[in-house]
Amino acid sequence: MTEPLLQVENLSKFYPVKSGNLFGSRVMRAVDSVSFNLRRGETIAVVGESGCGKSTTARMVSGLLAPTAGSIRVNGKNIAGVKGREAFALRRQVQMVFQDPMASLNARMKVGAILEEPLIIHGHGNRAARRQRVEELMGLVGLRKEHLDRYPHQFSGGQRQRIGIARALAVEPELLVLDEPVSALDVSVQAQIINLLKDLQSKLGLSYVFIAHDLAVVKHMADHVAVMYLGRIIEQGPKAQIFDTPRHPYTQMLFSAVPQIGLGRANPDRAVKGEMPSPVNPPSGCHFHPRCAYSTDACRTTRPELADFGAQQAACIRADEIPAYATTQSAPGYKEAAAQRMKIYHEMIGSRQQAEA
Amino acid sequence: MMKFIRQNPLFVIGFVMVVILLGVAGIYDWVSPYGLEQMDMRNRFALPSAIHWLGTDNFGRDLATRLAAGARISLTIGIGTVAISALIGTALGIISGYYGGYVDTILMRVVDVFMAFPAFVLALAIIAVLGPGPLNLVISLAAIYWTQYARVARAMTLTEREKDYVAAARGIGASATRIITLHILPNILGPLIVLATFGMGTAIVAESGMSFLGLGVQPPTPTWGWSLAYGLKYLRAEPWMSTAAGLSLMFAVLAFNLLGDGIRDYLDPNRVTTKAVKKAVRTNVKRA
Repeated sequence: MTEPLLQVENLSKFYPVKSGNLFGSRVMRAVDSVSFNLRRGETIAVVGESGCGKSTTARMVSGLLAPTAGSIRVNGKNIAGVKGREAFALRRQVQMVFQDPMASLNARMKVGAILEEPLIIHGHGNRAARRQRVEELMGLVGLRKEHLDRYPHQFSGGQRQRIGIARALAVEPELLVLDEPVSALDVSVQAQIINLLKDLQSKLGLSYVFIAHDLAVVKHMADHVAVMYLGRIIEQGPKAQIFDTPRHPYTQMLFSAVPQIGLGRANPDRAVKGEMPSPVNPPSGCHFHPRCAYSTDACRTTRPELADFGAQQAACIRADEIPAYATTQSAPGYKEAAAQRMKIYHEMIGSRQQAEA
Repeated sequence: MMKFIRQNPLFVIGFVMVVILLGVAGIYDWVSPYGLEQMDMRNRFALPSAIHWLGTDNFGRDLATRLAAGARISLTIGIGTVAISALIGTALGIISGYYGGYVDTILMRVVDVFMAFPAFVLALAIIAVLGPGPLNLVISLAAIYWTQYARVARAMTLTEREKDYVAAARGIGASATRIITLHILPNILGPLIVLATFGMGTAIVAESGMSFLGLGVQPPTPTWGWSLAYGLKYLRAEPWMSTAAGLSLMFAVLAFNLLGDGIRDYLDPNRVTTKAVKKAVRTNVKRA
């Protein structure tokens, strides 16, 4: 097997937190020993609730945040904590696309200038060559080159995100870190951006680290899925396995929260319950045990490590015993009701089309 | 731009007032038939008339001409003060906000030291050391006003540097200098320009105040503050001289404040002014 493009090992980010008492200062473990690999041309999706550390991970991988510990290897070279000239060269390989395209584009720069900037910084040819490359980038993300003289606020949300993607692509990176690139967009626009990302991936051979909380989008985009909870990866593996047979109770809980057309809520009994504990003061043992339906005394004391289950890894000491959970199962009566709804829906569309004709 | 002007008559008034001020200050020596020091003892304290537009002063000198000369001095000192204090204050403020840590602590304590003095007392002390004169006046006024720019620039930089577009710039490998000058500065410039415009008014008042006290520009150079001070002696019998000087001062401050308000509105980045909108407005107007 060839060497993975991205190897993340024991990546951690701790923040000191001032506590009420004078002498104690505690540590918030925003990201705690996260490891994963990504092969060239593939996509790994990192999913989890807000505050689980997925954005922190994204910022560390893209070099915007220095890790407390651990390594991030791109093409075998560690980029964690590298500074100065060397970091400058490594930056080219990894670029980031941000969640909110309005905030991530400088409102006072024209689109042409925004896209040209990385080219200037990395010394790409003369003015004419840069201009040509900028126009090429606009074409690549499906924007018209006549719009280069516009300001970001003159575009729609989807178009702005296209500009954000074009800027990230300007320096020809191998890896894009996408930090919830579509969650600020309308659903219809989300689909366009997702398809654009898929097209670019196959056209340019890009690899993606895809941060998301929308499982439908993940299902469409990812080759691998890593589920994070309170700063740790608690389950990871190929998309098909994670979606079909999630092993960790938390993953099962996440999936059962997704309503599905035709099925309704896959399993209402397992719906998400409880709130995420604070990463400053996490529960003992398995961080998930206060919310877990299967927790035992052992869960309160032992911290589970990731263990292999076929191609998949899960961090749960009872993963063997917990019933495998099929995401396609549903509560009784749901399928029939859904079929009925779809039938009515199609009839309505049919009669409206007739009326129009 | 046209739409903005139509919606903001006060901005236009402010702009016109500033233009009048600049015009008067610029061309009075070609236009006025009177010399600055040309006295007419038979015509002391004349009221405004066709011959002397704003009357005459205690030596029978044409007040309009002298106040116009005062406008030139006030504007020069105002612009000088604002330029120097804005330049120093903005530069130090951005550096302080962007780098944080020790740099921030040290620079902000320096600002605190300057702000701890009552502004005018500090300026007086500096003048006392340097001696009176236009250049020293600018230096002393800049010394008390730069802290405002430093504070505003720092506060704005603190919010801007956390935004994603700064992270994106770092992500593509932009240097700190580049981020500061090309990304942060343009985004915080609006409030600073507004501050500078208002600062013109304040600086002109401060200049008059110093000259009023005899510590600014020295007589016989005609300044507003000095005319105000001299007119004070005759205020009860002949109030016109002080009044005219005071009105000039008020005119100037009002002009810059109106302009500042207008610029603040104009610089709002989310105001829509595309050609398309302008065109749409035009066609709507035609249709109506």
